[in-house]
Amino acid sequence: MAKVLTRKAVERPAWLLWVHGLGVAPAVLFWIGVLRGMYWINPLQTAIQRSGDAAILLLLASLTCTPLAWVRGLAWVVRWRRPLGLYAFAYALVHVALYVGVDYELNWAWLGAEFREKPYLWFGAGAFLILSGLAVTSLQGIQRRLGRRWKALHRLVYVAALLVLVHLALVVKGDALRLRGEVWKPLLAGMGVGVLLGVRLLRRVRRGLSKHL
Amino acid sequence: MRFRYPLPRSSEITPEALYHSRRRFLQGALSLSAGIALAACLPASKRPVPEDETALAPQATGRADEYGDALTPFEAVTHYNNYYEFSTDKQAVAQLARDFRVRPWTVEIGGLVHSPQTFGIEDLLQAFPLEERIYRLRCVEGWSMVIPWLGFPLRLLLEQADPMGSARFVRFVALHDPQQMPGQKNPLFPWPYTEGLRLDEALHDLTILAVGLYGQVLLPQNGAPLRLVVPWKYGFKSIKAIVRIELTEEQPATLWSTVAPQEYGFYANVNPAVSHPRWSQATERRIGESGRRPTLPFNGYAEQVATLYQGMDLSVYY
Repeated sequence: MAKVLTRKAVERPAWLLWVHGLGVAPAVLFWIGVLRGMYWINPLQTAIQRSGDAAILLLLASLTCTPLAWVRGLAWVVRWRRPLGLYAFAYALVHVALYVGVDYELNWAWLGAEFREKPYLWFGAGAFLILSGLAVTSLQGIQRRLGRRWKALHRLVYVAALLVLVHLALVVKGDALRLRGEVWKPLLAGMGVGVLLGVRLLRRVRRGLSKHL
Repeated sequence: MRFRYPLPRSSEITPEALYHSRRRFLQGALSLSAGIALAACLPASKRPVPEDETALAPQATGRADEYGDALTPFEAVTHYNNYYEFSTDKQAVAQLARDFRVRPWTVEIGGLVHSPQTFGIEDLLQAFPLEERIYRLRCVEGWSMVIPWLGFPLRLLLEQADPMGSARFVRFVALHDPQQMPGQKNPLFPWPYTEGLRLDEALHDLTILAVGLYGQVLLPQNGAPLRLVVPWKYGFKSIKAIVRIELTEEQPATLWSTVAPQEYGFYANVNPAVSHPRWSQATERRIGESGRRPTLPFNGYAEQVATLYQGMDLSVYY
């Protein structure tokens, strides 16, 4: 931890640039597409899908920070975790706001009907609730107040990642489990989540073993 | 409902040059916007006859469907295409399909028929009078369009082939050519695209084989040279680039019901009451409109087709 703090002053501008670059990139790419007239026919469908994709990508990026930080000399990467997570939440917020507010125009009767019958919405909503909670508790004051419980709370991000994965697998045209149809997105995301959770488990197991030896 | 439609000039039906020349095709695409503007300003008789037959000016005779809903703009119809053989990106299809070769093209009609036949597409285009049919197209994804198709009832073709008494279903097979259709390199789909109808659905007057839209020969991205249009079913039933039509006794397997049987049934009738695991079927977004609108049973064709399904539980046969 001490190492991280001493490096902070030197690296701040550079890493901030990268983090914000990564976070803003999906929005910029989307706007370039809009300006080039690529989405005019059904802009809402595209915007909802792209914001969802961006949220998942950034969530995975945020989850990558911790294992990367285990590598010697890369401990500072852990500081990317929070901004990337917050960007993921921002895109998730846009995603949900477009769906609820623009696509369904806050028509609660229609939304209620959708919500009752579409499991993918339950998983998506669950993930969004978790991300909202994590975003709020990532304020430094709250972080400090929560102390140890903060870490336990923020482990929920793994649950969110799994929920998002199911959400994505259910929302594509095809059957991800049978490898049929347009399923490359959930497959890639699934591999990502699998690797990221796998390395953490592996590390736990190893540590447990070395304690016993 | 029937629409009278004047037969297009033969040069309009088969502008071969269109399919061989990328440059001329592009010019055609560029003149589209001009064409729309012209069509709005000039009375039909004064519209200049384009010297170049590739100068595609949309020229539907009708302006709206029977509910009074306006036609979806030609640009949208030709640049927003759910055509996985080319791309899953709907707005990338037009570009990718630009050089798709629709000549020479033959369509086989076989299976349980007394007189199996093979048509050259040119002959097929001459074989039956073409009519304009303004149909709503409802995609299973929850968006819809109103399209003035040009085509003929599938019934006419089937009657010519003379189905045997044992024939109960019609199976359609699309072109399989991964060289031309890059999406077919995706191994996660069981190419080629196949679709099917029950024989009585296929013989229904609303069911057409389309060869054009907006008074123009069909563009590759819309399923040229020959596609099915079944307006009361979700769009994926309306198979594009057909090369074979087969009459069968058994219900044929279809691409989407093979890929995800729990959500794409064989019947796929537009039905707001039968939920779909993902997109809303209760409402839809009409391309070009800002809000959602309720989806109609059988896509608004219940009066004509509901009797086909009398006594069937449509939540089982979805």
